[in-house]
Amino acid sequence: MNEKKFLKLWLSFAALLFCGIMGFNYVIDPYLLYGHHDLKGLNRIKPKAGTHSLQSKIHAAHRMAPDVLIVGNSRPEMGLNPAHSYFIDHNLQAFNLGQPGSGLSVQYGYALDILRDHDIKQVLISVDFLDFVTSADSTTDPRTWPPAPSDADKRRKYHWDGTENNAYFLQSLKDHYFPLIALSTFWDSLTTVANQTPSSSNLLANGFNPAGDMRHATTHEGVKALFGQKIPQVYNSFTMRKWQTDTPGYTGSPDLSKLQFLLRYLNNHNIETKVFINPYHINYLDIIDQAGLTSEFWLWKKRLVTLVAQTSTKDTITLWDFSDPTDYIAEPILKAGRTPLKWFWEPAHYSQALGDLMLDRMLGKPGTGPTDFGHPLTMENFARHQAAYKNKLEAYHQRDPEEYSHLTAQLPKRDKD
Amino acid sequence: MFFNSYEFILFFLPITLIVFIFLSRINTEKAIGWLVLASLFFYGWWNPDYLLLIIGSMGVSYFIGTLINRTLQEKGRAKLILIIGIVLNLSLLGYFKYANFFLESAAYALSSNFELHHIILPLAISFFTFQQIAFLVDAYKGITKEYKFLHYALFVTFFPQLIAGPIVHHKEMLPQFMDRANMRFKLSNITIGLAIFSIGLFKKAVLADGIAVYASPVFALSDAGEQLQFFQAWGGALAYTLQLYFDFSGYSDMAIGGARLFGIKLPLNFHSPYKSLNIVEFWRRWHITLSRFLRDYIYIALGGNRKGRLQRYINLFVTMLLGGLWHGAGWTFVIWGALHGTYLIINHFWHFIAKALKLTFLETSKLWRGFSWALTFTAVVVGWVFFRASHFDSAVGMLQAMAGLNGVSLPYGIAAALGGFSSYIQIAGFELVHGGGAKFVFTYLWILALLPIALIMPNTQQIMSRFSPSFNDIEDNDKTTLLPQNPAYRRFKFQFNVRWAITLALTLTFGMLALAQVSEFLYFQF
Repeated sequence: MNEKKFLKLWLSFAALLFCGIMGFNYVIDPYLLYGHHDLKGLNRIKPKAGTHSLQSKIHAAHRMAPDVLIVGNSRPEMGLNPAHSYFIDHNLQAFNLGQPGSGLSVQYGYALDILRDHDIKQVLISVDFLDFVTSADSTTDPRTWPPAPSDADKRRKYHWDGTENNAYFLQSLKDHYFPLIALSTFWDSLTTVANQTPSSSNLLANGFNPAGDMRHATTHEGVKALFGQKIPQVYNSFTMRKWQTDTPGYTGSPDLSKLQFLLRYLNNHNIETKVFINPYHINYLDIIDQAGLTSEFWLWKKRLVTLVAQTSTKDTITLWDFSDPTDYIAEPILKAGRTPLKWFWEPAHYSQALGDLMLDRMLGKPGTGPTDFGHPLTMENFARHQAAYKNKLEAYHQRDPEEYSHLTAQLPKRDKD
Repeated sequence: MFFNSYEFILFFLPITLIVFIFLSRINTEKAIGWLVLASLFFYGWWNPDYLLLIIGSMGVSYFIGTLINRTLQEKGRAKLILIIGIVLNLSLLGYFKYANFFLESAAYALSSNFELHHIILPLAISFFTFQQIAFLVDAYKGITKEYKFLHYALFVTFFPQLIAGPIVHHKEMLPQFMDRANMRFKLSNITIGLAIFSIGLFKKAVLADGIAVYASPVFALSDAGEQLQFFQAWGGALAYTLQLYFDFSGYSDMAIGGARLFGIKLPLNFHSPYKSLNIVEFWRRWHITLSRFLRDYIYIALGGNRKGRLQRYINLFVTMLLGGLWHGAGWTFVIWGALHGTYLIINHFWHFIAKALKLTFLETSKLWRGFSWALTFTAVVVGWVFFRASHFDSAVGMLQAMAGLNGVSLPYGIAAALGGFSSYIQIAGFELVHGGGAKFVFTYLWILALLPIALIMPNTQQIMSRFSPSFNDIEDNDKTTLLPQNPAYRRFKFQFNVRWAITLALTLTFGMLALAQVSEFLYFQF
């Protein structure tokens, strides 16, 4: 072969291969970026989509133009199913916008973008104590507005004040077309094709994460191992700094102001809103207690109750609390073996089964769902629930002393301040 | 501008090449002028402010070089001018690269709080400073002469070698720039240049960046004071060992390939260093042009091996210490240099002993060769731990973990996959830990995939040998190479056939696809 022919052949092969890989990435769509029809056994399960949800979910939500929006972090993403019977029965399209590992600026910024562009009828906002705490040495005035900019802001069509974001168009192009020519996407496309099994991680087109990987990890390593892995991480999260609910010198915090901004928008637009405190496994509540933060936990709840009462001028916003100690959140783990718990994957993440009960409670007719799990938290009943909390927690410690000892044995000894 | 970027590959390189080919048909000087302009644009892309620095540095060195040439008859005066030239160049490097380091060290030693404002290290300053010092010394020795600033400017700024070497000599480059035959368009230069560039791009963007994600987090943990476990630390250290090799040798291939597109051959910079059976051989194969500079302008200038064995060892140690400091203004680099200086002394002393005791027959023993390789490779990996760690304690922490002092653990997931065998592992004292199973598997899969490429496969020079890919050629020394001139290498020789068209299409495509990921060359700010 002469040199000229070789060069032509080489570059032609390269061009063909390049285009072929782009086409393959587009068809497989490992990150849920294009929203085309997926094929069972080829790409219906998206094991790698979870790693790109910050990039893909907001675009997916715009594409779907939902009626109902679920907002929060990874807990509602794994727990609240947009295909729940309530939504189907009421002919409502729900989208789960839960953003794993993201702060409130992203969670609420993305939500506002969808709210501004689509006719949203109902919003479910999950709130997490750890997302709101502020450092004892923080000096940021909670009234500072708008929040500090972040990279994720480029993916929003609108700024906080509703003006158009000029960076959106270019970022949207990048988000959609850069992955087509990325080697990592090609590996992830191959991984997608090779991992079409129920045990794979997955993200559905409606934003729900069915937690197949959690089920697999539990059956593989056991409930105790998963809890054992997570407990030190959770404890570290609560003790890495001196946390408190209010910014020193103020009532409230910058993160509470973000929620206030979102709730005001929802109230002004008459959108039915359920704000709910996530359920935590009792181990998680005990860690909060061991970290010396129970009083701050309740002060945070107090701030939420007050905020909802002040903002909801048209009675469209309700606060629910699913974090009270009940049998649902106190499943024993020591003898659970490799069968997943019914309600929790590990201390912080609840299962779809529990999420279904939460939706029944919040959305169903009064009396639907278990009455001993979750309740509206109001100015009127706040003191009663707070007073009963410690006793309830203690009652579970006495019922399962081994479980409690097992937990405390995993936590490092902490100097009392 | 990075070699592994869309702007370089899709815009800068093709435009520069097309205009160069056009101009070289009209006038060589115009073509050279174009290359200088393009190279300055390439340099200024990173930070235009430092263009003045490089142009100023070139101007001063060129002027001093010319003065040296004019005063060669008066040795004393020429020497004085040379010293001034070297001091000026080193002062520039010293200010930008070492001022903070020395002041911080002095402040620490004196328990003072004195701080200097942070000085940003200009890109490639270590490389172009060394290149210009070599030029001045060669001018003093009467080896090089340069009368045109434009030619000199191209020698310093020629973009394929400007940022991270190879460190070239004036006498290697200028005759090539001045040879009209090199300037003429040749399809073979394009084909061979592109082929070498593609292989380099693949090594850098796919292999080095691919394994980097298993190295950096481990060092980050160690930097943060976390106690690492045995397999975790070895995984991180080996991953970095391979990352560094594929990163820098990939970059050097891209430089050699890029220069070849313009008809220029750059000197070889890597020759399968991890195949070395002793540390002396390693330094003949790793960053060859730097080793050459250190040997010619420091080691020999200090007296080399001319003043007895002890002085030779001292010279070696000092040379490597300075070599370490050249890589970075930090104590970990100094320790790395000292470590390699010590390795070299031990190696030379062993040669002396082996010769005296007539133990040289060992060199043919397979067992001895295997042991020599393992010892050399381990010594290099230990050195890289200091090279990569951000502070001394971090490096010591890594090495403690690698020595097994923090215990040996395996992720539960791995133990579960081992089934019944896992009980033996626990009996053997392995601790089982939560999480990290996938990372563990992928770390060692990458290491197992890349190590044979570095140890068994022919390198780019050997693959392309029929086409004289670089300015110089290096032959394997059978006694000190793991697989010298393996007959199987013939099957890998580059030819114009379908197999190679497909192979290069794969390397080019995967290399291009890897550009969409964030990456940086490790050697960029040395």
